[in-house]
Amino acid sequence: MGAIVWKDLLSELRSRDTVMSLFVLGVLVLVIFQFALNLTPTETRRLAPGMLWTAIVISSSLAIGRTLISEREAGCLGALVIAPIDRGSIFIAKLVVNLVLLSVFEITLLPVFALMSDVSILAVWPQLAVVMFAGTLGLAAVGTLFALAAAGTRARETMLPLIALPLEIPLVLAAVQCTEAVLAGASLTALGAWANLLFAFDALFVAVGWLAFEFVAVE
Amino acid sequence: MTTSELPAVSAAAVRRRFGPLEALKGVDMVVPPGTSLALFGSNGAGKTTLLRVLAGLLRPTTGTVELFGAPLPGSPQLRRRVGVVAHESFLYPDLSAAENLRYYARLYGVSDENRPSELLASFGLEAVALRPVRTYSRGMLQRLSLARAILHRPDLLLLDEPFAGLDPAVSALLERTLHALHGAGVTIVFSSHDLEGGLRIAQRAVIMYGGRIAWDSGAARPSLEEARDAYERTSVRI
Amino acid sequence: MTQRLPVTIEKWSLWLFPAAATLLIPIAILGVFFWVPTDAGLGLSQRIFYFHVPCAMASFASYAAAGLCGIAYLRSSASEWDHASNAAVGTGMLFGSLVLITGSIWARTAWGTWWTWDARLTTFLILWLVFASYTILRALGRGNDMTPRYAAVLAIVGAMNIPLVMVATKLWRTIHPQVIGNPKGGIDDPRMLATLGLGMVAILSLCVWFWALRSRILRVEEKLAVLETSRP
Repeated sequence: MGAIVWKDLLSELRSRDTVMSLFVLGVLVLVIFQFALNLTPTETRRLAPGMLWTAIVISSSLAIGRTLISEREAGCLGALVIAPIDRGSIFIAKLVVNLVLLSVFEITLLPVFALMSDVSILAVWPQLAVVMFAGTLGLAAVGTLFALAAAGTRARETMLPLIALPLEIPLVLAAVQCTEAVLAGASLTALGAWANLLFAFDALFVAVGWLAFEFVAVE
Repeated sequence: MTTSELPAVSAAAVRRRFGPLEALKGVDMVVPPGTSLALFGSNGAGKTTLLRVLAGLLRPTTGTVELFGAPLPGSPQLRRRVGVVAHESFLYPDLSAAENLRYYARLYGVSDENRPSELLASFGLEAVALRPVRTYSRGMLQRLSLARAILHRPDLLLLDEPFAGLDPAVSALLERTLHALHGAGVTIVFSSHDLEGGLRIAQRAVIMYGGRIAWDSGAARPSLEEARDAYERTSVRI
Repeated sequence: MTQRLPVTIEKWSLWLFPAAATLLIPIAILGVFFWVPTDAGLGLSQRIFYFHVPCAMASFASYAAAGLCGIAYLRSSASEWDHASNAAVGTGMLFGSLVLITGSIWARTAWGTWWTWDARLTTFLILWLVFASYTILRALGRGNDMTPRYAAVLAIVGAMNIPLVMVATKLWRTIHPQVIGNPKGGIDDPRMLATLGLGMVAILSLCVWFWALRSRILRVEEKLAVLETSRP
């Protein structure tokens, strides 16, 4: 499993396609928000968590299936299917790769976000990191699970947002609430119900992905 | 039944549908360990589908497949005993040959670090070992594919039209390799359009037609005339 | 080949439920408009409740069935279960849309707005959206063999949202009327209960009837496709 993760990350590193397109898309969404909504600075600060997660969700749902899909194109998903590893492990490996990619994307996006919305993130970065990670894990899980499904349709990868976004609404809701609280200075333990929802969502989708990948990967 | 008596491959009433099309219409086949079997048949007869089902790449719609007595989809340990050369090369185009083999060595738990380079040498690929695979010719791809498939010393080797599109030199290399593997006790099942060439390697011939097995030479090694006859007989059906 | 469970249910459904629905729905409608008393608090508009709630139950039942049939399909690879799941999503979308529409109409009269981001409404909308994407997946993925499998996974995941809708009103504040199981503002008049019960049975009959029809159509379409390709 470690081998798969390493190989995927290596080829991503060489091409850098995915992270770049994620970043550009993310910035574009943030910019569009600024212009379309014509916000005052106070409004911007209040709406900042929502804008951030919208940018992340939209970018990720468009770009996330890439490792799986390009693998399938090269026929190499078959190689993984016949390999002596659990099908569930394939899911976890792809999940980790997507998680790393998204995390890199978010790390590059956050400074831009902080500048645009005049929000200070340095003071609360440990708590913010945890919340961001939890939210990203859920997004990666949903995306990894359904990337193949989307790629099998006429709309190809653009189908993925259609499938993933409705499922991710509870996650985004929880992530935005937690981010808002954390940016306002709350500690992780004070997050309460929203944090529970966030972690529950993560646990659920990672579990479902691990169990269901068998059915999704083998024809 | 001792482990050595368990058939390498045992397929029972295997059917496979693709939407409305039934590609396999009930295939029964038993392959004792150490056999080398050639699958013949015209295009669309179901050879590729059958091989993919045996490899575990496709689920049968109905019916069961057992490899070495264990049903598919088996455990990772079972899959480690199987090597597959399919239409897709299973090679990553942006990685080099050496990197591909190292990756698969890790994936299959091959502890011998020299195995990849040994194989690269015996297949004549050291010169191009560091170039990305997408630059390779068909012959080089096929050689590397075979190297990948036998990297982990499988007990069962499944090959889908391995000789297609190869020049005589590479073809001969492939033949020699399969002979050697057969001699070492590996069970080999491969498909081919070339009756004569196939029979040089195989000790048993199976002809498929319309998703079914139309003729099986059984335990006795068939002569070329026998096989040709059977092929003509089974393919003439409207 | 032995007949599988969904096909058996389908056959029974196609004679039992049309009869039930044809009988019960006119009675239910009469009951709602002429028999049941007007609600003291909400007035005339409350009568939509007798359609709204049964439609909600029908949609939940449909979505849950879709999820369960999805599991059965993944385990058995038998296309009958896939058709059952697909048809269930269809009825779920039909009655789910009716829930949203009837709810919206009522919201306009009671709250003055067509929609609000209330906990129950939002979670129900999410459920509806997930199965809407299921419908699109099946439409756009029609050529692909694996689509039924992916769809089954989506149906299972979607059905997991049903508990979320149920507990939404407990986790978050809501302005959605809490009638069933509510000790404070529930139903007093037995005629209201009767009408509601009748409405439930009537609409569920309709739902199962539609399910059976759709399921049969899907199975026949599949058989037709098989016959067409095997023609010499």
